[in-house]
Amino acid sequence: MTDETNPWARPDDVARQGPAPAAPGTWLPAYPAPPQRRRGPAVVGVAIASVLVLAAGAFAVSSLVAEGTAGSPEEAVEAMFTAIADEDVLGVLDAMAPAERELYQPFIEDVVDELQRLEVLAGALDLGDIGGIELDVSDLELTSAPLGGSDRLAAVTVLAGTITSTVDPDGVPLGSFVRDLMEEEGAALEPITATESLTADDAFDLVVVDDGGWHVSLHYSIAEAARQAAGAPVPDFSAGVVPDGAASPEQAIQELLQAAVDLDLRAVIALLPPGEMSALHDYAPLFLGEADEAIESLRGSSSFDISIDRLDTEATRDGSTASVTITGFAASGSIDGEAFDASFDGDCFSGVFGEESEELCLDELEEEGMAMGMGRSAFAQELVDAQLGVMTVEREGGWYVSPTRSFQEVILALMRVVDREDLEDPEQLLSSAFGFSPFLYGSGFGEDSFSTEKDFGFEEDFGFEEYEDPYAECNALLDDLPLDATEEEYDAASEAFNDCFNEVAGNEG
Amino acid sequence: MAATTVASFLPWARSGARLRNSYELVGVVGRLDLVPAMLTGPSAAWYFLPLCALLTCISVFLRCTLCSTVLGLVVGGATLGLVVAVLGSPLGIELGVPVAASTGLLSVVSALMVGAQGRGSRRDR
Repeated sequence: MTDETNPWARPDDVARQGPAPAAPGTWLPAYPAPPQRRRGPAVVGVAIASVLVLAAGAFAVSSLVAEGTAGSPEEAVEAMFTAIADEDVLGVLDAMAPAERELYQPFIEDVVDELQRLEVLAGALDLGDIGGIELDVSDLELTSAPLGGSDRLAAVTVLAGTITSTVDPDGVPLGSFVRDLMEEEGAALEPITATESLTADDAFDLVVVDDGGWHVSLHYSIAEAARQAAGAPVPDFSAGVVPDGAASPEQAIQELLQAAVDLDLRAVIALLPPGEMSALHDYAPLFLGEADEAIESLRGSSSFDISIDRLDTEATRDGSTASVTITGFAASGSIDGEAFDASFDGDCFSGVFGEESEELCLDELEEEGMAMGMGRSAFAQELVDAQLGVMTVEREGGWYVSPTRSFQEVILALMRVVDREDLEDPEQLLSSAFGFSPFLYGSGFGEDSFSTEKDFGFEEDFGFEEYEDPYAECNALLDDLPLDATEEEYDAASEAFNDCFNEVAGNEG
Repeated sequence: MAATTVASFLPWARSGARLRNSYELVGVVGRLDLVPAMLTGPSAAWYFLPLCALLTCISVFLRCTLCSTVLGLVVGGATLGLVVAVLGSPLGIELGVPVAASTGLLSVVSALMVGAQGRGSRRDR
């Protein structure tokens, strides 16, 4: 088809179709060649598009590579202070060493959740705007130097700076529990402003680590501050304790306990996770020598040999973490030549030490405790039900025992079994925690100490409801004292209480 | 597409006094593991938004209906996805989010219209 047969053909189409076949016997096309198109604008357009595509590609790649990491030790510390001054929670977390951030971030979130449940913090806590607190960091002067010749650690010295903080209690996201308490106490707190200027005498070091970008390390900063306080030399960071994980979470616990009873401190430290405990691994050589000497001295003064023959454990894995609960054990050995054998099967302890043997079961222990007024409380029962275990983590193919995570689990478990009502009645909280009230005798908490809404049931167990406090009359003298009592009124009430107490005590014999 | 790209550089979220555009936000959220692990990779692809938007414009200019439809849907869909994620977070929302929601929606609608038009043209031929 040619343009003669297709009158609507566009010049573009003609150009695309190419010249018509030449007439037989001729070397010329059947129509004249189309006029040359101006290619200038198209070339410019292609060039601009190419530049833009390259720029957009470069932006994407550089963003992926840089990912907001600090380029120098000082930048990392500046980023941390800037984030603090901006009350930028995300920025503070971002400036922290990733291993420590991973360790503390979930814990802080869980603690905030629990404090919100307990109404200590306001329920609608806005990460983007934590009200009531204003911080300003200015005139910051920093200097840095590699720490101990290490290329992955640097000490950033904060030479000078001014930190101004203003706290307005009305704006702080406190929950109703704290606000009610403040109201009861008649506390009308005014905004507090404080300014702290750092001088050369206040200079302090923050340690930053290079783990794909410089980040502030809390653990290394604490270790370095302790080293400086002890006047110890900077350790050789290439000669620290080498982490040595176990094959499984259960094995990690087994090896840790065996290392502990062998008093092998280096092996104990090696079983702690890299990242979380890297600072300890690096600084341990500073004290391991002295510790080993002390252990040798102990071995010289008394002989002992302990081995863990059996360890029954239950591990609950969750990705790269596992909680290990010890359900039973058997250990044997000798202490100063006297053989011993001890075991626990989940219900009963049994022990043989020399010629003596003893067996004690948990239910007996509980009965004895009840007789002493220290039965297993609801609080303790809830803790037992929480099945607290030792936390282990998997790092680079090995399993390590995580002391920080284990401690965090205990803190969270304690918080989870507490209710808002418990906070309102501290005596009730202690009663539920220990199975008895330390304030029972002459507590000054009044006669209705146990008449709270939450009933744990041990008033009946221990016959507390039948108990009549002989000192109730004396306690009332202090109970009736108003909160805003003057010193003279307090002294008078105390004297009256003492007289009353002595009189009742005398009558009671 | 240009508006979507511009919107991505506007402030999206506030943490304290600090404002972050969409790229800074995606970066910090990824580093802090605030998104599920399965979304970390896709969220890193957000940095390619300007490139995708540019390629969409080029494909429209070159009359490549399929390319412009697909790229337009990718740009618009990704923008709307991120907008929804930010709206669901506890962060303070800033101007970039509503602007990006509008431009993202517009991108999706435009891409669908271009796709429908292209399909109609092919049917006519």
